[in-house]
Parts: sequence; C-alpha cells; structure tokens
Amino acid sequence: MVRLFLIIWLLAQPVTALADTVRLAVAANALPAAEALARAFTDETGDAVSIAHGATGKLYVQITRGAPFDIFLSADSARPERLMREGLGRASKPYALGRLVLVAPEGVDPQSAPVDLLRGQRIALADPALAPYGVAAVETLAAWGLGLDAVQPLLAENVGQVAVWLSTGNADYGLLAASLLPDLRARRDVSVLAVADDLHAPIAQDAVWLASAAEVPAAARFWDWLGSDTATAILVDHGYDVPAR
Amino acid sequence: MIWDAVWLSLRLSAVTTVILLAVSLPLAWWLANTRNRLKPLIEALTALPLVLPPTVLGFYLLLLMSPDAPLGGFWLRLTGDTLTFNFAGLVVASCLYSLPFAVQPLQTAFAGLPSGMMQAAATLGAAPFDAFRSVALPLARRGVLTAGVLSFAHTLGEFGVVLMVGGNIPGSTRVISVEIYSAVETLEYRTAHILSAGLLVSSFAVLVLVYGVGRSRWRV
Repeated sequence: MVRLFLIIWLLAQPVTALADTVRLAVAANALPAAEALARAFTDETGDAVSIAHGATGKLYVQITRGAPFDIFLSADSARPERLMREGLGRASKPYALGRLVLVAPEGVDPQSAPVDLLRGQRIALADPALAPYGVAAVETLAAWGLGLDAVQPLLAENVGQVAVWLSTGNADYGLLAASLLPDLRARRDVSVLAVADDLHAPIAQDAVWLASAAEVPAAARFWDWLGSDTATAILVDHGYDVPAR
Repeated sequence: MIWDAVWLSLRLSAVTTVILLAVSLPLAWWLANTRNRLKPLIEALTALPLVLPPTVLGFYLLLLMSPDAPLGGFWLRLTGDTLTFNFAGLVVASCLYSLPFAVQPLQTAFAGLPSGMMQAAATLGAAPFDAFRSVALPLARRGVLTAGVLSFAHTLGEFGVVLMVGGNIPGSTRVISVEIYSAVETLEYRTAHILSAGLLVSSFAVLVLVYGVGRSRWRV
C-alpha cells in the first residue's frame, strides 16, 4: 500500500521539478522565436525553459485563473496592461514589434496592386476578436480599400492556424505574422509581400513577468536576458522589429 | 450572434443524424448478421472515433479536404466550393465523428432480435427488405431512437474537429462549442454562460431520454 502511494506520488511530480526552470506562456506568433530564445538562454545559463503556446486571449484567461507560468510573451500590449492593473504582473515591457506579410500562391506577384488580386478571394487571417494580428490584418485590408465584405475572410483561432491553412493548401491567400514565414516556406512555396508598417497600428508585443513568479530566480534571469543583444538578434532574425531601448 | 451559432449547430446535428441513420441502418444490420471474417475489422473501423482524439480526425480531414487533395479537389469541381471552411465539410466531419454513436446502438438492437423472426416473415412471403422494414425495424425502434438521439447530441457538442477544419465563420462553421471558446477568450462570460448552460441542460435531457427509454413502455 505504501509502495503504491509512493509510486503515485512520484508519478505526480512535475518532470522539470529538479531543474531550475522558467515557464513561458507564448503567443502563437512568437513560438518559433521563443523556441530559439529558449535554446540560447539554456546554453548561456543552464536554466531549462518550458513553453506553452496558444492564442494571446486564451493564455490571458488561463493566467487570470492561476495557470503555472512565470513569463508571458503576449501578442499585444492590452493583455499585459490588464494583467498589471489586476496585480497579476510584477513588471511588463515591450519585447518586439510584430510585422505582417501577405502570402499569395507561388507565381502570383502580390506587388502588383493587392486590391485587385484579393477582391473576392478567400483570405486567411487571425480572428480580430481574438488575436492582435487579426486586428492588424483587418486594418491592412481596409488601408488597401478592402472591407471584410469585399473578400471571403477565413478567421483563424490564432495566427498559427493561418500558417496551417496556408501550408495545407486550404487557403491560397493569407495575412500572416512574418515570424511564422520560415516555417511556412519550409512546407510550401509561396510568394510574399511585406506589409508596410504604416498600414496598420503597430503590433506592440509586451512581455509580463508574472507576480506569482516574483521569487523564481530563473524567471528573473530570463527577464533581464530578454533585453540582451543576443535575445534582440534572435527576435530580429525571426522577422520582428525590436522596440528602441 | 448567439442564435446564429445555436441554429447552425441544430442544423448540422439534424443533417448529420439523418445521413448517419441512412448509412448506419444497413451497416449495423450487416454487422449484426454477418459471419464474414472481415467483421472485426469493420467493427473496429466504425468504433475508431470513440478512442481517437478529434485532433487526429481534424488533421487528416484538413489534408484530405484541401483543394489540393483528390477529395477536396473533386468537391471543388463539383460544387464550386471548398470542403474546408464550409457547412458541407462540417457534415462530412460530423458523420465520421459520430458514426459509432449511430452504429453501435443499432447493431446491439438488431443482434438482440429473436432469430426466428426474419425466417418467419420470409416463410409468410415477405421479401427481405419488406421483412426488414415491417418486422426488424419496428422491433428495434428503441435502438433506432437511441442511435438518432445520441448522434444528434454528440454532434451538437462537437468541438475539436470543427476548430481545425471550420474556420470560425459566422452562420457557416461557427457552431455553439466554437462560439463558447471564442466567448471565453474574449472575456464575454455572459455569452459563454448562456451557451454552456444551454448545452449542459439539453445534453442532460437527452441522456435522461435515452436511459428513460430503456425502462418505459417503449421497451420491446
């Protein structure tokens, strides 16, 4: 009986409990960058990094309900502000400015007047109600003179799903986070137009050091390291602009 | 907004249930009566959606129903519309997803029929289909009702597959469960409460109906 309880107790232990670990909650668009950041951070400090990813809105709700995360890399600045107001954040700071790209089928030249190209087309974009990249996508279409009723919008749960639909051929056109472009290109040949950043409000992505992790040393180390030159280089490499320091 | 999702889910469940009953009646009858060596394989195939996560089904459907794939391309040429992100695609997904909920109650009901019944009907001159329709089906009505109700209820609660192949399009693929998911993420807890409570109560009612049928005058 004792042995049975011991086994159950052992099975119930988190696998990473022994190592010094920082637990990241990462917006879908930032997942590839966060994985690269995690590798570099682990190399430098020896701390382990665990990454949970999803739509910013979903992660926010999970955090307000006590999800076990130390640092939240959001896709916007609204949720981080909210967390700070609610006393759930210890500190917040911008870590990246998101860039948007228009993806078109291979051989199509999106440089030539995207308006005519896109009118009436099925376009995958993140749901603006859920994802900041969706808001920027809608603003971009509007700047091109296209309301959502002028195209057939396919609303993805987060910007990662836009990449899935594009890579599986379920959508020909899409407004995608530049950070997800390398993963898409590894699976499918597409042509791409970088969306000028004055077509939409800046996608200011903030990070939050959660109050529940105030005493986690690895979280403190990651927080400082996030502003380092190494981290900045990785973010730029993944298609982000980095906010001026 | 809410009622769009409710109406869509009800429509999806109704269409799925009708198609599933049409497919499952002959399939379940065959399964209940055959001595074919392939029977365990077919039974296992039908039961797969019970044990597979919806993500497996969603992943394969996303690939199969893509305009690039034979199935998705065929549908596109036939109807001018893609299967993914469309009501038709959700019907395909739901039929696969809820198949065991239709087949298994029917198979159990058919297998439980007194074995001499069909022979007796045949002796009296009934053609096989006539005997099935006027003898087997009425006797198995409890199974038919259970299959229909369970298929309907299970489709009503479908989530994972729809999220993967649906595209969250109001009035076309934004079903109740997806609407709840979006409502929670955007902190519209009122909407989430209304829809969740609605599903909870209706699912409970459906199960009471199914279990109640077992011991009431419906009993054969």
